[in-house]
Amino acid sequence: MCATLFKVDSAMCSVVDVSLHERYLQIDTDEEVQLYEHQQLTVSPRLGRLDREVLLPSGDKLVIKQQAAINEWLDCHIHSRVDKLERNPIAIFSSLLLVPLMLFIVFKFIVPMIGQAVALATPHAFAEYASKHTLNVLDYGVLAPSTLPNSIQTELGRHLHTQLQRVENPDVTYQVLFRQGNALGPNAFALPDGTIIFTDELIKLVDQETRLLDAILLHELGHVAHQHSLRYMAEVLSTTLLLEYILGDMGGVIELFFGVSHTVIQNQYSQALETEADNFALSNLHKIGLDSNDFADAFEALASISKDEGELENLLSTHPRLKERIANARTYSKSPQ
Amino acid sequence: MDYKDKIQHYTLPELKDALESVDAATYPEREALLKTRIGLLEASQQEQEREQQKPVWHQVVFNGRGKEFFGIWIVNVLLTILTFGIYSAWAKVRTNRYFYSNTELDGHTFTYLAKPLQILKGRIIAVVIFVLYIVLTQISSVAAGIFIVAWLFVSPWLICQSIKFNLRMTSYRNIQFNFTGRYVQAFCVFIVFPIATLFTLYLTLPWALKQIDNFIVSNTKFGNKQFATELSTGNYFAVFYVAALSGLLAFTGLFFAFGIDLTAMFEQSGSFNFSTIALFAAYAVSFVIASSYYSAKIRNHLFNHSQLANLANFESNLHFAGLLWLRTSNLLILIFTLGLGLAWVKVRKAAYLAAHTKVGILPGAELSLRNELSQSSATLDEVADVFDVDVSLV
Repeated sequence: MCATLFKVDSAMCSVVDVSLHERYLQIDTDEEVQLYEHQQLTVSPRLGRLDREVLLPSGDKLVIKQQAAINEWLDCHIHSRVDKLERNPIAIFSSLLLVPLMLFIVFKFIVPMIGQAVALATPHAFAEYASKHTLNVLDYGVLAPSTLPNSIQTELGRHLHTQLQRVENPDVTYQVLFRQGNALGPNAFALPDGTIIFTDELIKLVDQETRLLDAILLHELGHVAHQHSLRYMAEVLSTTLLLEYILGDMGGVIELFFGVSHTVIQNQYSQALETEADNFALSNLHKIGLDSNDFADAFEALASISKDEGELENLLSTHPRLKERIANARTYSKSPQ
Repeated sequence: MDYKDKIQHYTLPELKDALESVDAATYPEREALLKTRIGLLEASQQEQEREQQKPVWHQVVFNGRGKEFFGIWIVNVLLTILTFGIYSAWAKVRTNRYFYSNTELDGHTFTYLAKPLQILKGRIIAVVIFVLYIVLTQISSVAAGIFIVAWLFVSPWLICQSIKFNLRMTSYRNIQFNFTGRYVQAFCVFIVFPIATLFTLYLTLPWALKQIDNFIVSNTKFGNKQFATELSTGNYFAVFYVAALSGLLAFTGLFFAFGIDLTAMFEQSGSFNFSTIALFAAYAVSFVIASSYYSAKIRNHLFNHSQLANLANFESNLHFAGLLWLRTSNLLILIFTLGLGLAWVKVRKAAYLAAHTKVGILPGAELSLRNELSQSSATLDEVADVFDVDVSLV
């Protein structure tokens, strides 16, 4: 059969004749006959309809059009044959079904498992450093010192602390802080070391009603108890890397499309963690003498200041829809405990 | 025989000999005849030389097929997922081989030479750096700051390594490309100049972009032949500002067409609403418009003003509208196939770019390359091999 022989370090090439023997590959050039055994040749694996490329020991390169005989001779010693799968319609069709299924399994179950493993393995000192750092950054960028009267701060602080001790996890030291939320509005959030911050706006929104604050406190406690900050970080990181590797190099427009998909997946993790924190709160409410209706009331107070959210917004939000969270709390009270 | 007819059969050296030996005093008409004939022959010889210098233009052809690549792609994606991303190094090599080897010029194809383990090694280093950065930013502003400053100094070196790796892993007619960019110059074009444009409120950004393109192209080698490029700063400014302006106009138009309400967005901080989505859509559309214009015009300029001396000239004739349609339709394919159309998107892009690229090969290119290459130093190549790693996430 006909092949092209490229001389090493030269753009020159010539047409040569290749014939196959059981143990040798024979190249007939104008000047000479060359014989090569299989192990002397570096064969690039078969791919699509691409010409077969064979590197000779001299550095010369032989390029041969694909045909059954040459494929058989070149591939007879190669055991991993991914190209067979790539050409097999059954393999392609099953991949088409398996890829979405596996992606679902990986993102739904395995990435959260990785998150939990990472959170467990991370030393507590990291959580402390990270919390101090986050609070510094927030204080510098968004938050301002609380404008609540000192008396209210002390009173609320003392009350929340008492409540904390009733459900507390002995491994973590909790601390309640008040800040003016500014851009964050009525909000509460937990840092991984057990610091829980309420914004003035939230205190005003629930009109200092301790029952509602307690419910929110428990939700935040859930974030700390289940190491949500670390888990979320690990989940987002592994999602980023996994998506990069699955999709490979991408240019502008493709990046744009998958960037949105990435956001949607990330938000699913965030929403799952929020729901977990809600459920932690719901199952611990009885310890502080509240029930799930108090929890629902707290979120109704929050819902009173925000608009209804549709399906699409839900995909692009880090938190589950308030009405779903309220419904979850209301049904929780009815279900047997 | 008439003297005029007789000298018709003389070659140029013979004519010159005759002119020297002719007795000009006795035969002035012969001298005149010889001189006219010599002039005529010299002119036609120059013409022939010019003709030989004229490049033969070849259309770049892409032979890949969407259906075929889909099979390759989907199987590799599955293997990548099943191995938690590790197989992606093998998948990258197969994908690149598919695209390089399906790109044909003058009857020969390109070759991608990288081995999966090289890719894997680079990626492991990149992941370690990436995770380190994420962890540092979580615990300390100071540590993160130090990391960023260190990164400013390391990244030009890594960019050079990466370009070098990717070019060295590309060959055509069994000859590798190479990159000779040095650190100091890279530090200037990738770090110093872009930061300096800050002080001009980014108004001089086109100049900085031109410096980057110039640095990359003029340090690229094919075999031992260096690419030469003469880019026009004025062109970069014109293209950049037209692109930015059309993007801005499109954005403003869409902003009002969608009736985006910014106040509504800010009232509801933290959660998304219609305006946020419309704003994103407006951004996406104007981004595609501006980037298509810039890419088309700059690629054409870059190709049409670069050459390999005595070897090849290049021509790119992308149209703004054509590229805009390609990108828009590709985006739509991705949306409506939920990402599964990525294989077709990549093939369509490669085919489009190939169809708008021509290479003019000068006669004797093969010889001039061989001569150059016989002087190449093998030791230099081995030193480069030690650092043959592309430290990049993808």
